[in-house]
Amino acid sequence: MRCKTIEKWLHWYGEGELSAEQKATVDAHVQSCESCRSLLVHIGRARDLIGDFRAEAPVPRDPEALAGDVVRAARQSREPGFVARGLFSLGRPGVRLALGGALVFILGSFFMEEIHIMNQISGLENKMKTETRLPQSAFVRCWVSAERIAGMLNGDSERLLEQARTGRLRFVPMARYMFEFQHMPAGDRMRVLRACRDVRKTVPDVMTRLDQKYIEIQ
Amino acid sequence: METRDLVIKSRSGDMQAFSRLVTLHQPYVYQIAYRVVLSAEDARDVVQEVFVKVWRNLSKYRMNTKFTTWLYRIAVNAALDRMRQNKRHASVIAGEASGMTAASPDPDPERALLKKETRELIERAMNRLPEKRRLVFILRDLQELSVQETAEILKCSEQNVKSHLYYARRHIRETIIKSEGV
Ligand SMILES: [Zn+2]
Repeated sequence: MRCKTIEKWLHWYGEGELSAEQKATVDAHVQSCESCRSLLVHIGRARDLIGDFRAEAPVPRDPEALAGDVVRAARQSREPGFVARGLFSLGRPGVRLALGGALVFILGSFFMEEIHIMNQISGLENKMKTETRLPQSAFVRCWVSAERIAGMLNGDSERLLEQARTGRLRFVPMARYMFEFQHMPAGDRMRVLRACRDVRKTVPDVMTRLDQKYIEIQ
Repeated sequence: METRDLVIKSRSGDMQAFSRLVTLHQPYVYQIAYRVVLSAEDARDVVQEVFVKVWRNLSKYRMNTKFTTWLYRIAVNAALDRMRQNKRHASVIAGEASGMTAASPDPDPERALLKKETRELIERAMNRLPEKRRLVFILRDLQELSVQETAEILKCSEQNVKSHLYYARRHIRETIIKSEGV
C-alpha cells in the first residue's frame, strides 16, 4: 500500500470512518513505515490541540443582555419600516425633508445643525436611490440612522455613550453603525458600505465629532 | 418546552415563546458566529441578525426539516456575509478590537497562556483556510455536527464535506507542526 493512501486514511483513524480492513492495513503499514508512524503522532497531537480549542467554546459576555437585545430587535423589526415607508411614499424630497424636520422636532432635537445634517442625508438618500437602486428597506434604515445621529448630537448622546461604554452599543466603526444594514441581503450591504464612505465625505463634521467622542471614551 | 412547540407558538406571534427559543439556541448560534467571524462584537451582531431573520421567516420554515439545520444554515450564511464584508472592508473596520470570553478562564496562569497560544495558533490557521473548508472544519470538528448534518447545512454532498475536512485538518496540522518546530 502506498503512503499517500495511508495518509488519507490516517486522518479518519479512530473516528469510526474506516472499515476494519482499512484499519488493519493502516496498523500494519505504520508498524513498518517510519514516516507514516510519525504522521500518525502529529495527527494525534493536532487532534488534541483542536480538542482543547473546541473545549474553549466562546460565550458572549452578558448573554442575557444579548438575548434581550435579540428579542427587542425582532419585535421592532417591522416598526421602522412602517414609519419610514409612510415618509417615503410621500414622494417629493421636499415633503420628506419637511416631515423629517417635523419628526426631529417631535423628538425634541430641533436645531439648525440637525436640520443641516438631515438635509444632507436626505440628499444622500436620493443619490443612493438613483445610483445604487437599493430596495426601500435600505433607505428605511438610512432614515432611522439619520434620526439616531440627530439624537446623538442632542441630549441622547449621554445615554448612547453610556451604552457604548458598557458594550451595549457599538461605536466603531461609525459608518457601519450608521446604517443598520444587518438585515439586508449581502449584495445590498456592499452597496450601502460603499455609500457609507460617501457619508463620511458628505457629513465629515458629524463623523469627526463622533470619532472624537469615541476616542474620549476609549 | 420542546423546540418544536416553541417554534409553533412563535409562528403565531407568541413573543414569549420566541424569547425562550432565543435563550435556548443563542449559545450555539453565538459559537458558530464567533468561530466564523473571530470577533466578539461581530458575533453579537450576527446573533442578532440571525434571530431577526428567524423571526421574520418562521412562516417559511418547513417543519419536516430539523429546526437547528435551518437555524444553523441562517447562522452560517449571516456569519459568512459578515466575514466577507470584514475582509473587503478591512480599512473600514480597522481598529476594532477582537476579544473573546472563555466559558471559564483558567485560574492557572501558565495553562491559561498555553490555551491562549493554542487558540491564536488555530485561529490563525483557520483564517487562512478557504471559506468552504473553514466552514466544514467549524461545523464538523468544532461544533461537532455529523458529516451528514454539516452537508445539509452547507447544501453539499457528504463526500464533499469529507474532502474539505481532510484538507482543512491537514492545513491545521501543518500549521501546528510548523509552530512547534518539529
Ligand atoms: Zn508510509
